[in-house]
Amino acid sequence: MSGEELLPQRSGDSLAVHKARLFRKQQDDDEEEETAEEESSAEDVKLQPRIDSIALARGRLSINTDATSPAGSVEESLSRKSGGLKSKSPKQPKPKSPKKQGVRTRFAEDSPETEGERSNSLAGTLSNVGRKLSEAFTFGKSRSSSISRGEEKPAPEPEPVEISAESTHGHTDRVWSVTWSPAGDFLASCAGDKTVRIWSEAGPSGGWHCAAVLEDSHSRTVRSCAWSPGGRQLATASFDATTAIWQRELQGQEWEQVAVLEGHENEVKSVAWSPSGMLVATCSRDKSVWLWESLPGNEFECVDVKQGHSQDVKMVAWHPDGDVLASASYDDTIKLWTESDDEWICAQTLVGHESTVWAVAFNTSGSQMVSCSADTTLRVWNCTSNVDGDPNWKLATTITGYHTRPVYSVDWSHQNVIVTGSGDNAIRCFVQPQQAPSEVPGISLGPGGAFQLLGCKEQAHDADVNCVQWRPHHPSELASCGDDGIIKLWLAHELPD
Amino acid sequence: MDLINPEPIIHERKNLKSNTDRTTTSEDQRDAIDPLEIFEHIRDITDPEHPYSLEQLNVVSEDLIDISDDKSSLRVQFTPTVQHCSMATLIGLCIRVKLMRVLPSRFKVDILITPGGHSTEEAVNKQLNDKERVAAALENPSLVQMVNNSLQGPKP
Repeated sequence: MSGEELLPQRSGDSLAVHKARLFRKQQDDDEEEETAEEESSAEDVKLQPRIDSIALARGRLSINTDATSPAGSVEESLSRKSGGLKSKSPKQPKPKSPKKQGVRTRFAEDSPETEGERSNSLAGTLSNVGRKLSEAFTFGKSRSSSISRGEEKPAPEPEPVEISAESTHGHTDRVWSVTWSPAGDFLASCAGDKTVRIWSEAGPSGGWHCAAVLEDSHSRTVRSCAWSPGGRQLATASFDATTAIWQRELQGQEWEQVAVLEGHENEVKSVAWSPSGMLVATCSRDKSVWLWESLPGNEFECVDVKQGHSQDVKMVAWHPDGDVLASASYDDTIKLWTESDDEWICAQTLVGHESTVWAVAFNTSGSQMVSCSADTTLRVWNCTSNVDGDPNWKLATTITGYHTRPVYSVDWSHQNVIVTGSGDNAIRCFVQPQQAPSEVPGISLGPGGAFQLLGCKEQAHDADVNCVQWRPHHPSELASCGDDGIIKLWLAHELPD
Repeated sequence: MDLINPEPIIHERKNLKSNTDRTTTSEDQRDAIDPLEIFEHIRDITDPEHPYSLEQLNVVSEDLIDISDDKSSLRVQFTPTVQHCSMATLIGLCIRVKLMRVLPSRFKVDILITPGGHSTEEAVNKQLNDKERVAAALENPSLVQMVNNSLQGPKP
């Protein structure tokens, strides 16, 4: 990992030029006018997604949509008459909407610390192993007054690049979740501003830009999103009780909504696509987990509705093998669901956390799972087979004493590093060393071995870190997002000796 | 209409002196936020049921506020007027929204029922401190309306 190429710094001027060029490339004047018109009409008339008929029957929900042929739809999607919901390329800044109630007003009170000061205090919190998280990129507009980060940073730390200084491309509310495409080339972010943004690297010289904005669909916060394994579709879960399915064109980032999954009684908190691509799971504050089958022609059929949790279900995640679904809940438990005779059953309920379980993540092989909770701990669970050959999960170890606020997000990399995002504004990495350390404070030794803190980035965001996720096919890179409305890309690398 | 608490005890509005005995040092450019300042923000929140402020009903008081400006942490405890008050969650939400609007975003705020102050205090506390639940609730227009009514302050 030492000597890994760090991304080059961009000077302020060249960055501005770079941005302007990208922005104009997105669309020409005609389209700009057209979409601007469409936008104003969208305010008056609620655009309907391309749905022919919705059959609402208890437990069986089928959405019929137009069969969209990829070839012809490129032109069609640009036409105003199609009526389908399309993504909008980033355009001129819209007039600022009236201040949303509940948005904090008094946040410019503190003089912002320089990045240099922060990094110095970070050095003191590093573990003996010597890794640390360096900020590779920052994109998204900060709601707080902040100086451009990176100018005061001492070498050899990488200089972060602020991608979008204007509010055009950044989210205008807290970012709840970031999700990498399966190939690791695109990052989808969803936010309280009811939009989803797709980010991609802008050319070989580095830098990130907003490739698409998925908006005018959800009427409330978009809480999470999930890519199909093929990377062509995106499911977006919203507080408006629906889950929208978007599809992009074969080339480029023109997205179109092709289906909507309705049925939950209230906010949908999480959506997850099975590894095979055949099933989509959603969960909600209505305490249920729904399983949908993805059929040809962008048709989705509900195959099961699982009651079982006694409270709000916060997250669903698939086991890498695709035969087990984990759900994490406000009722402090994790449930594992498996399919048995065309029906899904709750195979096991994992008890242990002392408060809401916010997220779970499996390791690459699927032999272990980690969960994070409002009780500020992580719990690692091992999978063993019982006498019948059915998987049986047991608590291996509890990681305590590190987080001081709820842990909202956790992810497990292919290099076996666990990363967490917490309400204490920090991002932490944990690893399970081959040999157990003799004494490490805060780790309780269980049969599965001990986890050691690899590194901690305090004040990774100026507010709660809501989501962290490792980047596929890019070892040691991860994305994070937070209540500050910012998305950051991090690089974990060795400290120089 | 049956009120939850038809005969609340009304307290006087206190005249609280601010802490003027502050040593000003050269580095101290900004006064630390103290419990009194927090109390000033929440004392006049109106109870959803009665035309009285939370201070008058003794739901909030200065000594139930713990703040550490250095650590950017704040804990506000409140005492519902009756043990089974079904407005407890709403009152807590009003306090949270008011503080959200006036405090710097760096603050981590915990809103809790005074221990022993409610029959289902654990359940209420859990909701009040689940930011996802709070965020979703604040997207509900009728609920936001109720909160804003309480935040308008005492009626003249």
